[in-house]
Amino acid sequence: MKETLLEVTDLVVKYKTDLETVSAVNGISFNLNKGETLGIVGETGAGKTTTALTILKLLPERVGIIENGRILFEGKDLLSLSERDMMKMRGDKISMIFQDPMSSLNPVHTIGAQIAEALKLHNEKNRTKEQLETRVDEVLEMVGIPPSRKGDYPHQFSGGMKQRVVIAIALACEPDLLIADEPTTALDVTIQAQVLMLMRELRDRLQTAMILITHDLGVVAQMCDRVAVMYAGELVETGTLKDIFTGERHHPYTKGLFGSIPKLNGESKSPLSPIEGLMPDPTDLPAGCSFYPRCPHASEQCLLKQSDAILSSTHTVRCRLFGKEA
Amino acid sequence: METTKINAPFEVITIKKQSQMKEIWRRFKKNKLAMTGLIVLTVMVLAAVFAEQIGTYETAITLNVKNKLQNPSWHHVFGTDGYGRDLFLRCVHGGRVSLFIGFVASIAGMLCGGLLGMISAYYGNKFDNIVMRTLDVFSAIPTILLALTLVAALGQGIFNIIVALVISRIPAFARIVRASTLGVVDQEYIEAARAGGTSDLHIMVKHIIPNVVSPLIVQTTMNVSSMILQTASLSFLGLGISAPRPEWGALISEAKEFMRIKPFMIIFPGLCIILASASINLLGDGLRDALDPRLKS
Amino acid sequence: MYKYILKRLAWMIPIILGVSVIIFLILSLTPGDPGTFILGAGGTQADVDELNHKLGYDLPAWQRYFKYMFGVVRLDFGTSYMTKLPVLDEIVAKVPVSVSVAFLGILTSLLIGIPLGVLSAVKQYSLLDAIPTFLAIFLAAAPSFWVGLMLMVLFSVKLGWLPSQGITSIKGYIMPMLSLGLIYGAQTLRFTRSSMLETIRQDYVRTAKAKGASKQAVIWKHAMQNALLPVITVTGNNFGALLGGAIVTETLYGLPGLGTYIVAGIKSKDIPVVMGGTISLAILFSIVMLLMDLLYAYVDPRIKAKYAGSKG
Repeated sequence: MKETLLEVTDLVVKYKTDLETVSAVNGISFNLNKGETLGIVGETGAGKTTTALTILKLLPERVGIIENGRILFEGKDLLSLSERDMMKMRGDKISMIFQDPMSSLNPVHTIGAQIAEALKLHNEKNRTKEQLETRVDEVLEMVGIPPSRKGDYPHQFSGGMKQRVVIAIALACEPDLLIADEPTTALDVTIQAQVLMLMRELRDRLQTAMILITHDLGVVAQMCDRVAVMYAGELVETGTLKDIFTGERHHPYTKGLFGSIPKLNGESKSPLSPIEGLMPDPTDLPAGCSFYPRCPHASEQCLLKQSDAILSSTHTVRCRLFGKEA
Repeated sequence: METTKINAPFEVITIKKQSQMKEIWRRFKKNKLAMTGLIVLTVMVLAAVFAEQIGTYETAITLNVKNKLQNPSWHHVFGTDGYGRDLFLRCVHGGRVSLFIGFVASIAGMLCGGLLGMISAYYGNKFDNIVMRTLDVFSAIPTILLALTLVAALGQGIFNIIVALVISRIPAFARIVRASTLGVVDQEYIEAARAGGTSDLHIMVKHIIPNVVSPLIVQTTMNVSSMILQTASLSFLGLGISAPRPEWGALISEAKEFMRIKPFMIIFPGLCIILASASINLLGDGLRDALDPRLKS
Repeated sequence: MYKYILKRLAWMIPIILGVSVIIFLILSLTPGDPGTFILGAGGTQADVDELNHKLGYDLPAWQRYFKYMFGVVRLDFGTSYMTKLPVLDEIVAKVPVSVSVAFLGILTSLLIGIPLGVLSAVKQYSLLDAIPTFLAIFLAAAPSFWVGLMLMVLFSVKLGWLPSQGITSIKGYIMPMLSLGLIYGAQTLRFTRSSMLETIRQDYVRTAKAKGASKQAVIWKHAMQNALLPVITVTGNNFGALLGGAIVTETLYGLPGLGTYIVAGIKSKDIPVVMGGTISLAILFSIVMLLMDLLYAYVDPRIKAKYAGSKG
């Protein structure tokens, strides 16, 4: 059995403003082993990014509120950690790559300075200035940018190159966990492939565990060991890559997700079957299963709170269709 | 059946417009500062409109020297001025002039400048170039100075002051509308309308104006307060509203000579200006947030 | 870069021409003639006509304009109708007063506005946000001469610390500086606050936090420079506006600056004074705007790259 790195239990996150309360994450639990990659898949607004920001404790101040749950990282409860200790975690043990490389870099600092900052903030080895600069060069080379460009500003780079810089910042301190929030969504398709390849290579080389947030099942298939499907702030299905991508027994939402992408491998000439309707209003979630308004198998039992059905040691589904087999 | 089909789109549009207004109002109501501004401003405008009922203009300008320089009391809430006139009444009648100039000049400036900016952006090229360069020239002259020379040329009086203020504000309005029009003019639906032979006037009225109207409303509102301040400055420099007609700025100027003995005479008209102008600014802030929630911080 | 500066300096010529035409046009519409003004009620029509002839005022407006502008090219701004002194000499004496008052005012406004603006943005919704914001709303709505008068009541009348008129001693600068500083500081505060609020919500600020930077480091190192970029533009505009807009403050405190000079000229229809004063204001304004653009390029690498690009 592999060693557990991250354990999230019963996490509930809400955004509270004067006008409304948004239930972004509604009691999710998952864990991640060292060196493993977990894909979190779901539509926009499903609570994926909120989950990521919660792990780093970077939710918007005053508004984002963690109502319940526990996040254990290497056995330490992150939620009870002081801001000071949390700062030591961020960038050193846990890093994050954000969605839009265009706006993720500070326009008035050179990229070299932005990478060096991450190193300086976590300089346990007491590296000298020269050593830090050497390390910046190394990191740049690692992500495929000539070190001679470290004096350049972000606006001098293309989107793909910027994302490489963002990756360099995130991996500079060789973190144990990398959270990548839709790292390739904002990029061109050809650049997407390059960046994904780079991430996979670096992950394998540095033995970094990764949480990859995406709505692209193709990316999941290429990168992940395990997959969690998120819908309206809940994990409706979790399993290994194989559990999710094969077999017939899935949550109706997962089936819907797969039905929404075109298949090119010949035989199935069936038309696309997108999921009807929209995600429920997160300020006013339905009782019971949140997918039931859109579910083709909906019945009265769906109005009750659903619990996870365990299909195998690795595969769980939160749907009454599988309830009896638990 | 046929008629319902034809009517349907129109109904949809009117319903949409109504609900849009409702939505804006709903958002606006949530903004406490803006609501305060609206209420205070409404009270001041009502006081200005019904000034005659509060106390006649005649009383406000009639000298009564034996009553002069009285401290604020129940009888004279703001006290009396150097000629024994009730300062509260003069502030009420002064507000009539200040608010009138503020609103009229701002709206007129918006219409003139807005039209210029829209036409300039719509036709573009040479015409736009000429207009923009001319505006550059105007912006090198401080607005107060431009207004001052204009009043000197046209002569004092409410109407002339409004004209001077409007002219000095045209460049600012033209720029705002030009910028928002440029954002719309390149959109494909405008191209499509042009290609379809829709007249320029029709395009401007139906497509461009609705798109520039929110920033314009906000700007016009905010401008009322700068116009009030500007009028006050003109009066202070001796080229604004002249005696005996009260105007907030003029009231402060008149009170200057009694600064040493009766500072309250400066404070009250000043507070009137601040109250009006702050309410207008808050109202403008609220309108901006309500009209365009994306801009909300 | 040099090419850009030269281009901007060359652009000042049409601006100055334009300004001179506009002001001259307005002035020639102004009723009355200098002869009547100077001689007052006592002068006979013949005396007035003779004086007007001597001043060159009997020529048609367009001829007077060209005559005047030919003089300006040779740095001859004419002589004041009222004081008979060369306008250029007077302007040279008055520019330093106006520029230093405007500069001190802007400096004070930045010293007040930026720290309080940042503070109220960082402490949003707290009392440290509410109080400065309230004061800023109040001051932004106040006429500058009213604020000036209030300071006078406090510092000259009640406390007797500062002179209410003139700049015979350095103390005379304090109140003008303070009153301009308060008014424009209120604006700077509001602007800095909203710019800062916007900046701390940017993605790159989140990136910095994700690196493990402390709240202070994020604010000072990452947010500050970006948030101040738009403040520079506003400050530049304010400074430009203040050069002429300090007219009211100059008049209130009896400062011998360009503002009071021009106002006196307008009131007595002293055309050379108004023309010379306005033209020098326009020149000062253009120079300030150019300096601000250069400063902007210095702090924002994106803009600098643009200029460098236009050079090659």
